Amino acid sequence: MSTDRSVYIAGAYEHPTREAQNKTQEQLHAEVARGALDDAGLASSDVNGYLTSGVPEYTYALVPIVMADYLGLEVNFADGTNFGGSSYPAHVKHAANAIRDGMCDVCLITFGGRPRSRDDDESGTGTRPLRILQDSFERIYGMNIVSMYAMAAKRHMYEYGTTAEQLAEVRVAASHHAQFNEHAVYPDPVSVEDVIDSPVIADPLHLYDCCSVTDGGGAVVVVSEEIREQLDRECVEVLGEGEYIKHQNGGTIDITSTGARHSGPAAFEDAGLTPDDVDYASIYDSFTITVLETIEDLGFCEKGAGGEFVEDGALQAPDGELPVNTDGGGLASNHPDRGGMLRTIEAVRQLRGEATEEVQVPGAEVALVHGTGGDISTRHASVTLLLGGEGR
Amino acid sequence: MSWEPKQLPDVTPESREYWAAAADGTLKIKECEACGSRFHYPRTLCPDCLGDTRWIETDGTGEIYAYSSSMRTQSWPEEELPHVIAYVELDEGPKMISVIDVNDPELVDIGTRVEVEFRATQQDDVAIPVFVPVE
Ligand SMILES: [Zn+2]
Repeated sequence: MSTDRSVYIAGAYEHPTREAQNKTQEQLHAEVARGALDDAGLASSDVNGYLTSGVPEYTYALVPIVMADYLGLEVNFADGTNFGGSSYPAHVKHAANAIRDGMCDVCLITFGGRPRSRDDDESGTGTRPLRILQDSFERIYGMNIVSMYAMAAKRHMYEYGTTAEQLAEVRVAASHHAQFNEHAVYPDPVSVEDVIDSPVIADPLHLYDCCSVTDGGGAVVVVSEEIREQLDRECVEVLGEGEYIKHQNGGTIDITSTGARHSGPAAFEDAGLTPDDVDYASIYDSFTITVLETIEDLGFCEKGAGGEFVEDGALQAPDGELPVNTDGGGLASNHPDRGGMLRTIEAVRQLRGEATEEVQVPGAEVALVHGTGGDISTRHASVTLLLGGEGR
Repeated sequence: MSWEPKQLPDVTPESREYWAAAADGTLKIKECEACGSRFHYPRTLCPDCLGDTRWIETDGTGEIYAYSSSMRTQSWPEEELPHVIAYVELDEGPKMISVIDVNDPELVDIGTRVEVEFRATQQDDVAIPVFVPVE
């Protein structure tokens, strides 16, 4: 049921590239901006709100002032909320709030990244720039993002009996979906055994438990009810959102759960929905453990029961209990430093009935997007976004 | 193979005493004068209540809360792998990230008792705490 305060995603576009050797990161933003505006049937001159964030995170670089200049946008509202990979579902809600406040009526959100082509080989010296104050207590030891997520997997196994085979099921589902995505970087189906047999990167995580590293990008356009009425394109309603920053809390952190424990219930309350209402979920899949913990924390199963939940194809479209990441996700389709925008776009496809035929969830009316930006074992921003199809 | 520091931490007004204590062979954490909370990494004001804090000496002992053996990474010299990253839950309360400096990762498990050792850097007043299993 829409009201005059209803806000919609009217345009969505995912860049088809997975390797952009000869493009700048800014160019990727421009190309996805054009794609999303074309999809909505809007022009660059219609945009009066702009949101973005990107890598590098910790310098004055990829921020709305710089990018609005580059894109030539004239905007009354801008937001550079930087939640790492979960920035973009948060931007959707921040755009919706600004539209409801009357600050603007067409918000463009852009994302682009090119870690595959960027030269940031750390070449095994153990010396890396210390970027944030916590790095002096963490990064100097030689840890990286894989070892931090691996610690969470290890503790989850210890507390709940989760197995490597159960984690592998998350990748099996992603790869099952990716075979139908012509742009997926890893389109070959894999078995549980394939995951277990892939090299251990950081115990207990194998190579196939880790997301891909690709170039790419995406954009969405968020509009007011009034603008939507002028458009021909099928739109997706923004139903609710929740955010939570989870951190070490002075050293009392429990790494078997994520901030989704807070952002999930907040989003469901905002939307007046429950986990039972969700037909499709895009869940940030930096690693297989990320999905497993998130499914528990969002209330799709009891805490600790995620391993059992993901068995027997529960995450596989179209018939699984909770189809997840039907584009192949970050694990098998693409992860250009950050995944939140691309997962949002797949949720839009599902609600428009425009996902790839083999993975389209029949009659999908409610989709959940969940982002985990940062590090599950130290600090991250959890964002849960609920979207509804036009037929609801 | 012994874990050796590859770079210096940023020594700040908030952390200088932590690194200097390590160079003197003591692991220090912060305790809140207002609420009694003990925490790591060091901050001037308490992350629980923003109260004033003081340094306390720990026994340098605890147990492993979580760990992972890195087998393949660009973050560390290949010939020194695997190395074991861990969260150590100190007997005084807080969990801290460190490495478990062992030749054989099989010696490490969740719950393993560990104690602190310090690895010197090229700077006299800075050493890095690492942990080893208690015999
Ligand atoms: Zn306090």
